[in-house]
Amino acid sequence: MTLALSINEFETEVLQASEEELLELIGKVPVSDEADAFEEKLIQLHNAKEINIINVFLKPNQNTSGGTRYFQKIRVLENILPKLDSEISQVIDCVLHLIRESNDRTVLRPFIDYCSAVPVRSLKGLELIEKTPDSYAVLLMQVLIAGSRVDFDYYFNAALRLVNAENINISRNAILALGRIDYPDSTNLTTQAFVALEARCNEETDDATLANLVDTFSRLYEREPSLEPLFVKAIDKALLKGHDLSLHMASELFGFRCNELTESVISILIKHLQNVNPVNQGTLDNIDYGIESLLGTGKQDQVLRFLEQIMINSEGRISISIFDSVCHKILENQDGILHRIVTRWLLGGKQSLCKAVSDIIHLPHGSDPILSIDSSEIDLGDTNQTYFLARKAIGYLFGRPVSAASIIISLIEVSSDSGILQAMSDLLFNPLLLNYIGKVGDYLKQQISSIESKSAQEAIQAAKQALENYMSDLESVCTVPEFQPPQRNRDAYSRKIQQEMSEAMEQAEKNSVLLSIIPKSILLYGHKSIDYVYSQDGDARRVENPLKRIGNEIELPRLSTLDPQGLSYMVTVFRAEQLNKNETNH
Amino acid sequence: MKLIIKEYLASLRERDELDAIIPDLLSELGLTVLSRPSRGPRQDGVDVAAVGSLDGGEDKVYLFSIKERNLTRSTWDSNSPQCLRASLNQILDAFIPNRLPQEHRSKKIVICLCFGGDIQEPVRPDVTGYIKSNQKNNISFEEWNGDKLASLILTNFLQEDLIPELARSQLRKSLALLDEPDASYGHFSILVRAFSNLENKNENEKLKAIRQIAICLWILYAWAREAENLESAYLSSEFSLLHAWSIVKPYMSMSKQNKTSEQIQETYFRILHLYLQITDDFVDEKVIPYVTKKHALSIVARGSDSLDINLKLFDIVGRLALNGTWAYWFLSTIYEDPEDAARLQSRIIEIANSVKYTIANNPILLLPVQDSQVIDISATLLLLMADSDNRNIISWLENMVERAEFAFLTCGLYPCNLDSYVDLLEHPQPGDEYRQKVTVGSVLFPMIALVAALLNHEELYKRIQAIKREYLSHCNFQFWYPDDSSEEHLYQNSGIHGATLSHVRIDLPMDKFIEQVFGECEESPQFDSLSAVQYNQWPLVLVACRHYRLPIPLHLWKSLWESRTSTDL
Repeated sequence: MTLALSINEFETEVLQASEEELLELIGKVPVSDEADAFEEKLIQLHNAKEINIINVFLKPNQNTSGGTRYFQKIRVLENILPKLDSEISQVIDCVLHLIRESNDRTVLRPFIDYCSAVPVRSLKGLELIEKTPDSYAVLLMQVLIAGSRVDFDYYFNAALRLVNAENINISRNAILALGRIDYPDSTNLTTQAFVALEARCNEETDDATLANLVDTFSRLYEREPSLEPLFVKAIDKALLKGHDLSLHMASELFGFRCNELTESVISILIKHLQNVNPVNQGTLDNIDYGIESLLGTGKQDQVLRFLEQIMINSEGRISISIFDSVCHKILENQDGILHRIVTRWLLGGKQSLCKAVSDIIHLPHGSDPILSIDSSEIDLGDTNQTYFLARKAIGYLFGRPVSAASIIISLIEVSSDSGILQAMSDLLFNPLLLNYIGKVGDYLKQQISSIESKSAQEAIQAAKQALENYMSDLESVCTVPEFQPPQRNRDAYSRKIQQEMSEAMEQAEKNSVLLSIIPKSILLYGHKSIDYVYSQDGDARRVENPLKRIGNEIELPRLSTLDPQGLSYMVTVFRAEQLNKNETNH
Repeated sequence: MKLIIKEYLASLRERDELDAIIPDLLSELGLTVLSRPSRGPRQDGVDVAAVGSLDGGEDKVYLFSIKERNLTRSTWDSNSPQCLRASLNQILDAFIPNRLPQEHRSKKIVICLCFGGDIQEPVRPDVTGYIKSNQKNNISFEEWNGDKLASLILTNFLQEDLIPELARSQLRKSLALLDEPDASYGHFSILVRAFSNLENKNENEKLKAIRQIAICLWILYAWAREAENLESAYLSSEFSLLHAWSIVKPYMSMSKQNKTSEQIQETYFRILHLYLQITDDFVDEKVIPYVTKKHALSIVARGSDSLDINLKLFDIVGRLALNGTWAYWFLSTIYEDPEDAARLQSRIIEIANSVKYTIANNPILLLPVQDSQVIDISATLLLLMADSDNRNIISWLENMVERAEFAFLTCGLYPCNLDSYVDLLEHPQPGDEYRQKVTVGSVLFPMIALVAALLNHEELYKRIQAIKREYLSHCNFQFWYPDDSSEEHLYQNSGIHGATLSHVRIDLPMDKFIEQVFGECEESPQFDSLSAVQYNQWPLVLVACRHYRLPIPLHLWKSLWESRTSTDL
């Protein structure tokens, strides 16, 4: 509910209100063009000492009512704060109180404007902070930024001095301030600041301070690109000593500015970011954005190595699916990157990378991605490599059988060795065709006509023939009632499946944004729903909604019923086996 | 009830089926059977001959010519010497003048036209005309059709005063539920138990009981065959055979022979014959056609889940093995007929090959889900051992061990002690505690170790030692041996019996391990005292073990191993 009062009525109410009531009135200031008038009235009354708005916001537990109303009050304060005549000490207390209560730091920018509006405020603020750093150091950066707008030299020097302050919070905030103040053009003050910070960096071991140094180095480098050699050295030093916080700060640079960074800067970032802690989702997200941007550039190789190294170093704790932007970029297969990754990672045989291939290929809904090998990544003269790659593809892409089959077909197309063609044909039949007669069978039918090589056609045909032989053997198999499980077992199995399906349905509903918010009605009979929709004037309109059948079909591997243990064993062996480099050809 | 029996009679084949029950029926009617059906020598139209009085009248000679199903124009009179008219002519022309025993020549003769069904109306005038032309003062004709036979069976075999209504209703239910074999078998087993409750009964009553079992099993089998579902008949035949043995075993001793005991024995052997016919039918019609085709049996056995396939296929392999073992036993009992010996030899090879094909083409047989499936595995191994097929034995067991290792490593479907199907559906569950709970004991792994040791395959033996060490250190590796109470309970599963050698020392070297487990056989001589072993019916022990889910006694392994060792020497 917003205010439906005139300015005069508002003034009267404000003046008559208790502090609690005043806060409520502030919350009702409309979000519209009229707001300025109400806010001006509040400033006027405050500055005339008729009311004390800062005191009102200092009251504890204002956020208990929660929600939009609270943030509406804060918004009003943010708008009027720079114009309020209040003691800086009181304002600092109020700002810190609000940050603590709401964990919302948007009030800091108006605070800077408040400080810079009257020169003495920054000076007094700096004195207060230096005097009681444990309470107020957190606002040092804002006070220094505000002060630098009024008297750059004084506050720049103050910042340089405080970089080496004994109190770590003072030091950390002074470091941040040096990255954020507006340096005058055509001065070498950025270099001066950089050098001072570099010296601090040499001494520093605290991760949070190093993170601030990384942040400020980045900002200074952004402002002054000629600092690059110093920047590379400094950041290397900081990240070498730093931990999660420093790496996170570096990841922000990598994630959001990677397209502006030079080769050497990217290299140094990659060198350190590959040791990212798997639990830091934010850092990983930043890396995701950075890699995604770089994949489309000429730095593809370097980025792929980075990606590989992250996954290998994490020993399975970082899955490629964490990098969702990267996965989607890879799936676009720009410049054949998908095929390159599939070939390289499967052939490498490293579990984390092969798993990554599987995760990427399992990502899209709908039909299986069609893959091909990148012949620059494999020695086609080495039949061991061909055989190994085919089995790895089956092992890791068994749930995407058409993708696995497409790799084998691409291997068949480039192979001439009769032994390997036979082996590929055998693998196409068992396990792919044998398990997925529908999906893989249809895919092979489509492919066989488009393949030019006669030997490749023969190999595929042989696989199809093997399937036909297998199926024709089974044609004579009829139902043998003696082999049917007893009715009680069939009932028990049905109950189990019904329960599992119902639990899965409930879980899916919980996870679904749509289904979790819309109400549900169950129709016990019929195939249409009849509803009456009432208009504003009370007229009822009859609406019939026919129900539609929604279905989804999946093809389960044949052996998952006929020999689940054997299937699981085969997939595990295919996944686990490694290429023996000394082996003779297959 | 009469309709049920009529239906059964109408479905019987002439040879070994309809002609097999007539002598029993005549005996029950108080006649003395002079001759039974045989294949070899000339019978001059008579399938069964009997003498005696029916319904209190004078003694007469009854000559039966038996034909299956309905009497049609072609079975009445055709060019075939097997048609009924030709048989009747032979009786009149050859049997009565030449082969009727001298002492019965003065008696009146009744020629019985016997068939399981009815005379079809178009044929009736011909039959009536024939009878009118050929009946004489001392020769008359009677029609023994399905209706008459059913009435006689009902009043003489299944009469209400001897069989409680409960048992009769069990038979009806077992026939009605043939499509639900477990339920059908359940009802039939109640019936057999009722027949076998013979405490304080005399020999004649026992003879009647065993004949009742035989006729009921025949009825069930005939119906099952018509319904094309032999499962209930298969299970019921095992149960009936074991209960029949309980009845006959006191009469197996040569010193106790009299006419009744001979008839009891005859009936037992007819039940054995029927059991073998049913199991042969099952194996030949339901299993063997599929064994050479990849996955075919698994597909045939496809239930709702791979668990169903696993349970059913080990069951099938066990049945195949038992069928082969009976052939092996028959072979060992035949000394004279080289033709029979060759036939049995080839049957053993056929079954052994079927077992191998079944395993090769159905990889689900490479690891059981229940430890108790060792019963089927042991029966199969025994047959393959008897066939001296060490290579296939080792290959199968190596695969089994490999899959077991993998299953334990990956929490896959490792063999467990769970019995309930519902529990098995939830198996396996994660966690060491669960694994230890469902693998408290094992006969499977020590059994594999024993076979590895017997075949001197140290690598396989060591892998079992490793499984015990790494995954089953808590598990009680054990073997079961019959004890003093086994003879009493084995055939009817009337109580718990036997003793278990607990915590077998798998850590010992192979020879010591063999010494340990076979040494215990020496300490358990009760196996040799089992009546089935004493009277050379030892495959009955395997049938009992398979049917009541008991481990197969190691004595059978020991004697096989000793015979192989002596042959090798």
